[in-house]
Amino acid sequence: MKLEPLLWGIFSAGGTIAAFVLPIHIFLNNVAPQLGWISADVVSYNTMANLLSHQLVKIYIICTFIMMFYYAVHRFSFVPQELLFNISHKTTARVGQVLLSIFAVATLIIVIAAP
Amino acid sequence: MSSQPDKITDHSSRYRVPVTDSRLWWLKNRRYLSFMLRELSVLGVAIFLVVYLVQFAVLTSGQENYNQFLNFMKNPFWIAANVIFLAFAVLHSITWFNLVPVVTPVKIKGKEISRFILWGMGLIFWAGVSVIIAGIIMTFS
Amino acid sequence: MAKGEITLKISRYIPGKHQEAFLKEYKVPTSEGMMVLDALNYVREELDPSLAFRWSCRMGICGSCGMSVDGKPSLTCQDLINDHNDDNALIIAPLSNFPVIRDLVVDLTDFMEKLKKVKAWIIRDEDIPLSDGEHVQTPSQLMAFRNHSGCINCMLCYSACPIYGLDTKFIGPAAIALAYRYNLDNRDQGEKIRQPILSSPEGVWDCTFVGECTEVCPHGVMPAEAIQRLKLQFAKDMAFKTLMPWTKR
Repeated sequence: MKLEPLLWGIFSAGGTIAAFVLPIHIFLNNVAPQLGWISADVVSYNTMANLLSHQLVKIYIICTFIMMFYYAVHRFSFVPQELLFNISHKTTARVGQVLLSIFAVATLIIVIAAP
Repeated sequence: MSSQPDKITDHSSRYRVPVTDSRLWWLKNRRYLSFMLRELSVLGVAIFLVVYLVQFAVLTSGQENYNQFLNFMKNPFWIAANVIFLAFAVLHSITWFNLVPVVTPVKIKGKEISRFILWGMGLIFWAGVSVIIAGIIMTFS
Repeated sequence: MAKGEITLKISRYIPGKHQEAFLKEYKVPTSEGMMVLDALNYVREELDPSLAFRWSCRMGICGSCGMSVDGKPSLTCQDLINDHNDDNALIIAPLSNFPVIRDLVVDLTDFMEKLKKVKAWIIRDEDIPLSDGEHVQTPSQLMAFRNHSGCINCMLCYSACPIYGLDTKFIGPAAIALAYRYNLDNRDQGEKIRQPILSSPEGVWDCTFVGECTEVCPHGVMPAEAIQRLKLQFAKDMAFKTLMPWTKR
């Protein structure tokens, strides 16, 4: 596909973002408070509502989430072929585009509306 | 090339031994295995992001619903899944900075910077960014 | 430690005579410093003259003796027998991913076509006249592409690449690395000519960076690195072309 160089560039950017910010977010939101390593206040209603009321936080979430989701979708689009399933990359790329579009729209709606 | 394949030298129809002979070809050696794990690990990224988005949506719907969602987050299977996601995310970060010199030579005054140093710098930046993000989030709580 | 003897299980296939390949066992006496190629030559000279395999220089520079040894692509003239466990039979098969002509000999026509396709040679708009003397190349200009020029066309990288295994239309590690080597050569002016071939679906974009090609290469050519660098270069070129179409790249 003609756009492949650009798509790869965006994919790489998404992977780089994931390398920098993904671990800390998984840790602080889904692991540390649940295991009691830090106070559960970090995920409490007040904290989250406060965080998400800021424009900058909203923009951060929208940008990073969509880029990281694109990274995941692009990489995974090659996997069915690598696992010898008879699905062309064209098809998996199309499915990926649809999933990404749904995710992007959902992110925009949800984050702008929150809290 | 000629339209008629030369019967004597056209070997293209002969059998060959492929590397990808079975669906589990990637179990053949350590590097194929880590390659496939790397590819599959993005499923965790996608799932994590989708559920996080759901968390924001529930946030909007009010404190009662949100507190119920917090109970779901304490589900041991979900915690275990996230520990796995976290492990893969950390592995992703640690190995990602090895890729910088692979995609582009990094030079200062014509001399290439050592790959180990580039990797170390990547890790330091990663630590720095993580600390900043943690600081911001903790300030709000 | 060498017991003094090793069992080789060698893939045999003679078209017309056999329906499919099978493993034949041979017992070979070993000695210190013996290579797998030496063992194969012993088989052919002392035990079974019908065994066919390619070899030439015996010193890892001609690229002829590539075979699959215990499932791994290997240059048999550089593969020490003592590095393998004597107790198990050593399984020797033809290089993976290539059509087998006979026994351990594979058909490399596909690669030869690809070398031509990527134009792995110096391309110039105009040759400089003889009276101008030689092309000048400084040591640092040489170092820019030197490791990629070490390719001996042994095909171990194609044998290791699962993507090539899935789809032989993929131009493949060695051909792309060699094209990159010529792009980097200051005497070459063919980068723009090679770009559409390299930036095609069968070119660099088929690669998902498994990295096994770099791992098995006996001469440190690092084809995976060449391919990823090309990906970045093409991505940058496209970004520049889209955002700043007036720049000449």
